This record gives sequence, structure tokens and C-alpha cells, in this order.
Amino acid sequence: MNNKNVSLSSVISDLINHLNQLPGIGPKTAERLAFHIIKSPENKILSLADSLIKSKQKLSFCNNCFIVTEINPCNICTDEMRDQKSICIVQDSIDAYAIESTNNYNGSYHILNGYISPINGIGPNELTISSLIKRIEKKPPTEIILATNPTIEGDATATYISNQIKSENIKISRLAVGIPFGGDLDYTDPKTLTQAFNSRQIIE
Amino acid sequence: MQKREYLNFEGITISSYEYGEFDKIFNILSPHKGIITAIIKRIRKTSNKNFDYIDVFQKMNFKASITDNFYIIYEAKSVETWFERPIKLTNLSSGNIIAELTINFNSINENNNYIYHLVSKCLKWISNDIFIFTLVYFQIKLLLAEGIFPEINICLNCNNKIQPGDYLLNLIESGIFCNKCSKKTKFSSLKLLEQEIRLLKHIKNTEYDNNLNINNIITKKVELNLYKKLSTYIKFYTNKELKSEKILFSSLNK
Repeated sequence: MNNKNVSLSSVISDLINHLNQLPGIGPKTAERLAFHIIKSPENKILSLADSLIKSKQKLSFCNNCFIVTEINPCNICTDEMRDQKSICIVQDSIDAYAIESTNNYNGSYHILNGYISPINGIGPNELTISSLIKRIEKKPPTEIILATNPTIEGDATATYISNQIKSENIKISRLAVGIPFGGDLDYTDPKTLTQAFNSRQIIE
Repeated sequence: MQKREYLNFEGITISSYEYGEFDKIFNILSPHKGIITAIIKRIRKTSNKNFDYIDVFQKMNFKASITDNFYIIYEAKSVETWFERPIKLTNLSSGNIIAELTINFNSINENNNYIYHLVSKCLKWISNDIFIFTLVYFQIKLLLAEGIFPEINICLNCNNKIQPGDYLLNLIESGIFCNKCSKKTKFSSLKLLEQEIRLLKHIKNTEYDNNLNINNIITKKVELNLYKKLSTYIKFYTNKELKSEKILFSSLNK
């Protein structure tokens, strides 16, 4: 934290320091948020504090799929209307929420809680891959969708998992990569365009 | 008000991490300025005509604005990509070891251009599934470039020429002792076997080109043991563990 906090009240400095520890919040944003909190009405801030405390007290990870949930096992894992024979593997709970918002997938999920990143000391053992393998052995699915990010590390994670769970009875797929809706071909980089070409579909 | 400068440079992306909501910070190895740490804004959210696909282990032409030694990349065009999809864990962790060693030894000196081409060459070999030999080659060439390659031709104590055989490598003195003198060097030593010393000498004196074609004169076991010993030697100097190493070994065992 920079030196100007020395002249601030220790309460403010403390608040700025705590906010600064959150992902994506730099020192400047932490300062802005802190002063916003100070200026906000008390009831709003008490409500925010209450949400923070409740999120820690009431939320946990589902024992089956590791999504953030209030009940265990989670609503998705116990929903009989969903296709429990299909598992979509994502890096974090937030990715599952993004897919849920499409209303296009009706299967279950498995949250890895990260991705393989050797340079950060994160290998397969640090993720929930062994739980996934046990889950598959216990109740073999018919389909697995690997929905990790299309980065080098996301791709290495997907490749590792597909090698671990390879089976003739399981259809394993990876999310398509290509041009986004509303995107301009002219603005698409060569690698994405090549991938889009390779994954082109026949119009029926 | 700080003066803004502009720089065009070629570089290899060796590591990255997410920053803020949409941005990424890259460590980019350059031929003349060592490692440049630069931010690319909104790279996780939108496609932009000024940017080709950018990830680690890519050689790219960059355009950056610099204020107070803070680099912001505003254009990046691909020159060479090594790791084609799907990527195996062994390739990724080997590439990460090259990245970690490069970062740990980052110094700006007359050998920067050599290290730049060495990293480029070694990433290519790794993408061709040559792992441990590449890592040993990289370790040795890096030690030579940094001036801390151990003395392996003469005994550090009596200066006699070292004959073929097994010897102790003294970490503190950075060299080997002949068998007569080895009793004086029991602390912080590694035992180097004859074949490992042969491989050390061979790589020290050989500069392979991009299209590596190694004869199978050396067994994988010798390569791996030498890698581990040189890794201990390097750790002694840098005082830094390589996080990728454990993951590489577990992927090799599978």
C-alpha cells in the first residue's frame, strides 16, 4: 500500500488494505471502493456486510460436483429433470453459472476449482480430477463436455482429463472455438479464424 | 509529467497472469532488454484487429507505449507459435521450466540475444516432444551464459587434469575435485557419474541448430539424473524452487 495511507485513519487504511486483497482490485480501485463505502447509507453497508458473512456461513462446495451451493448435494445434482448422464467440466463455479444463463444445457457439472498451471505449482492433484474419476467410476456418464478456457493451460487441463477418462462408452467433446456472434471476420485473428474454418459446419 | 516513449520489439511470451477484470500481464523475453513485463488491456474480453491470438510460448512482434518503465502493449502480431493444440502436460510443464529458469536468471547483459535464441530453439524442441535432453541443454547453456558453469576439466584443489571417472561436484567451489582431493570436499557436494560428466562436456562444446537430431548415444536415465543434479546446482545459486518440476516428473511417470 502506498505511503499516503499513513496520514489516513487506521480504519480507512484497514478497509483499503482488505479490499486491495480481492482479485482484480488494485490500490486505486480499493481506495475508490473504500470511500464509496464510507459515503454510502449505513443500511446499505450493513446489508453488504450481512451478505458477506452469510456467504461464508451458508455456502459450501457440493460434495458431488464442487459447485458453490447452500445445500449439499446441490440442486443441480439432485434435479431429476436434468440429464445426470451428461457432465460438463468447467474451471470454476462462475463458468457453470455462465453456461446456466444460456438455458441451453440441461446436464450436470463438475467444477475443477482451477486449471493445471505448472508454473504456479498447480498440477492435477490440486484440482478435483480424482473426485471426477471416482464419480465417473461410480455412475458412468454417456457424455462429457470439456468446457475449460481455450488458453494453453485450459487446453492442457482438457487434454489431461480426456486422457484419464478415455472410454469407448463415453462421448467426450470440447467446446468449439471460433468467431463470436456479431464479430467481424476482418477483426478475427488468424489462429481463431483457422480454428473456425476447421470446425465449420454443414448447413442442413 | 512523465514522457511517453514508444517501442517496437520482437519477443517471446514466457508467462502470464490475469490482472483486473479483463487484462493480462505478460512476461516477454526480448533479445536486447531481457524480460519485459507488460500489460495488455481488455485482452480477455474482446478481439481486436491490433492483436493476433496471444498466449504463452509465442514469438510475436509487439508495439508498446512506455511511461515510467511501465509497458502497455497496443499491438501484437504472431511470428511463430510452438505449441499446437492439443497440448500435453509434459510439454506445458517443460516449457514452464524454461520460463521459470529464464525469469530466475533474468539479467540484462551481452548474452541476452543468445538466451533469446536459446529459449526459442528449446521451445521448438519441446514442441517436438524432446523433453529432458532439451532441459539439460538449456540448463548448461544458461549456466555458461551466466558465467557459473562448474569447472569440470581440472581438479579445483590440485589443478590436475580430470581423467574419465566418477567425481564429486562441489557446489560452493563450483567445480569438481579429483579422487585424491575429494576427501577435502565432503560438504555440499553432488556425485557426478562418468557418463553424466561426458554429457556435460559434450553439450558444453556443442551448439545444436534448430533442427535437433541427437544420436542415441546417451540413455534417458543419464539425461534425467544429470537434469536433477544440475537442478540442485542451480537451486543452490538462485535459492529458488522450480514449481513446474514436480508436475513434469509426475507427468513423465504416467
